[in-house]
Amino acid sequence: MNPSSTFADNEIILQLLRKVERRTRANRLAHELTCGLAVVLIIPVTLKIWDLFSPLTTTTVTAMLAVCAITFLSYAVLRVCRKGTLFQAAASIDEKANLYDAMTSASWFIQKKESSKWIEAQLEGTARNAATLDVSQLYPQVIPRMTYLAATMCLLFVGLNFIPLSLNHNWFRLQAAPPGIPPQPVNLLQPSIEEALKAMAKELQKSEKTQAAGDALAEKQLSKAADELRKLAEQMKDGRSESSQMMQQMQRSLDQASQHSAAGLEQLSKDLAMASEGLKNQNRQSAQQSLQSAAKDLEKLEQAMSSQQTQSAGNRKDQQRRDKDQQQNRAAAGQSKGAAEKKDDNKSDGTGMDPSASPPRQGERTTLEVQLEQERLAGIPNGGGIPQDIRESSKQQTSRLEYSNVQSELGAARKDLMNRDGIPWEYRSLVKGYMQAIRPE
Amino acid sequence: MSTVIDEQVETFQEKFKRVRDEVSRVIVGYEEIIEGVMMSLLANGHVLLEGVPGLGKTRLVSTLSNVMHLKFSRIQFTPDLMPADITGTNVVQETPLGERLLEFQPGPIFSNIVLADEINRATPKTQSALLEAMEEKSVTVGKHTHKLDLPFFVLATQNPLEMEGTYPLPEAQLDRFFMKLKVNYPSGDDLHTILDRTTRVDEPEVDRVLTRDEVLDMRITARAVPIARPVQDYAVRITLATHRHKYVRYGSSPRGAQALIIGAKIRALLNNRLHVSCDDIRSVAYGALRHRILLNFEGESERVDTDAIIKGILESTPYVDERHLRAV
Repeated sequence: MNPSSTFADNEIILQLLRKVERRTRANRLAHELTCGLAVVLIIPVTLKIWDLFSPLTTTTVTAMLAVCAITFLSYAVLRVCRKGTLFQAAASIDEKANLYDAMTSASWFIQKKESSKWIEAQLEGTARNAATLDVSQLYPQVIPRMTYLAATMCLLFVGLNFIPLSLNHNWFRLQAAPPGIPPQPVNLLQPSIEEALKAMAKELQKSEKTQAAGDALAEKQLSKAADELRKLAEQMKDGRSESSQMMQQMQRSLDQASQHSAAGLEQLSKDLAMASEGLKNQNRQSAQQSLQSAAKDLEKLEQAMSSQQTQSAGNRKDQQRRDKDQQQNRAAAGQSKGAAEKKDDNKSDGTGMDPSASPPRQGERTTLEVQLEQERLAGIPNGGGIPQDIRESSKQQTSRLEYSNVQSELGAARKDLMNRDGIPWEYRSLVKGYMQAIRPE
Repeated sequence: MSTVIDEQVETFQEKFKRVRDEVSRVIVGYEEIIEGVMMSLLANGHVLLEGVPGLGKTRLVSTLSNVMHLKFSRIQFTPDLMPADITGTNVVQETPLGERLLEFQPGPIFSNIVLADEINRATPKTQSALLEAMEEKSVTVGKHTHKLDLPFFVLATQNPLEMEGTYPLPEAQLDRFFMKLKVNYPSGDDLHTILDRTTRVDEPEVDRVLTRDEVLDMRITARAVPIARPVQDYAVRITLATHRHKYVRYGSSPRGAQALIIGAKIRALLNNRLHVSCDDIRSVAYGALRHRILLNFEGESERVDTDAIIKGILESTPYVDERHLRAV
């Protein structure tokens, strides 16, 4: 037994296996990564095609591209980290070079450090074979087919970004549609709507059949106009014979009315136009359905307008109340200033202390009289200023009254306790010292 | 070092080839059968040959015994054959002094190569007389156990067509056969050659080319071939897979796995390799497993061939198990 020759045989076999493992790993990675890239690129390309027709916002584009990039990078890291074993390489080379499990057996014997005359002979023979094997020939470096697909996807993605279309955004130049703005509700109280409705009414009044609806519309009675349109649709359903002249007149009238559209009246105009079209094609059923739809549109419009009116009135009231409050606050501030000046004049009653002095406060001082006056002005016309009213008022909004000025139902003793005059800060230590001095032993 | 091993392998191959060539002078077109029989002899096993009458089964065995310097005996199994007719019996002998004593008269089983012709015609009692001899290489008569000469090799034949008056071999006995080989009808060309050789005045004669000791040496050489665990695992997985088939009541016993490995080792040597490959195991799988698979009722009713089951198993069993790929 020659240990050095056995070691050399083992090394030859292991070197070959390492080489095979590296080569198979490189080929596997090339295949897997190009495959992964091709699959991942499907998403940006699809998004880009979408973007051509319906522009995507910056947020969407950034998020999707980030997800794609992270997915591919994670996949790539996982694949790169996955290493093959020498045993796998041995099984692979056995299959490639028709070695009838010689490498598999040899790698097992080397790994398990098994030794016998027969095993050494086997390793020697396998090492001889290994020396003659050409790894580059057995495992040629080939460009995977998926590479072409991945390259095509890349080119497609780049190309799509540079298509000269007005809607196209070039993502490479960090372009994208601005973030979406939520649709604002149309103001149905604006004059343009009123004018459009008047114009529609005028056109409808021209036809004998639609005159009633036109009149109602002119008087801004939309629900009545809707009823008239429904009646008209019912008449058409009953199949009453009307002269073709009347029908033509009605069709023209509806057609003209549909021309006067405005923002918020699109659906109504569309339904009127469809009704006109139905009459023109003598398709009464279609015309009848369109009139029914137009009636519904009018009802919806009335509902929307009334809710906007209510809201608008509420807003106006709120604004008026705020204005009044501001005015009253200003008036109260003026009065309290005068009262404070008077009190300053009545200071120094012999003790050296100001009996009305209180701890420092924030804001303007208010008086009970002023607050009662405010309530009376803003609330009930007769009287006001009674304690119940003040409480009711305080439930509705945060009280701005000085708590000490609010009339209470407390008893005299409690009232005294609550309404104790505070000792001015600067005199507190003096009073404390005095009280301690006169305290009986 | 490798020179010694190489010489051993060369000697093995050369002797094997010599026997095969000699037998082929008489037997035409059954190279695989000859190889299987030789493999069983060198693996210290026994062979069951199955084929219709007239295909040369008996001639094959007698020729094989002729090419080796081994003692040969033939037992024609019939329904009235008794166990003592095989193993031998104690007979009363009178000495020159007039004393009478029981002396053991060995039966035909006391040979190196025993041909059990039409084994399924004997009763199970008689068939079972072979059990101990085949496994233990010994025969117990009365209170005495008699060792058989090595190599001991039983070659049994049976006819698959005639079921009338036959007794199918019990599973325990079937399991003791290293291989079951199916002797098929020869091809047209082979038949021409058979006729050319057997219908003339001069019939081919064979030389004795292998001695008893050489057979025993070859047995040792065959067992010395190393086998890696992943390859051995392939044999184990195949053996275990025979238990999981829907048409199988009982799959192969561990003797089946032993037969796979030893047969594969001999085949590796014949292919000039110093290790066993999965291909070697595949090539001996049919002979080693087909008689060890017991079909269930569904399998029997659908007349499923055990060879088809083995083929399915070989196709569905991967060469190298994922476990080994991860472990190493």
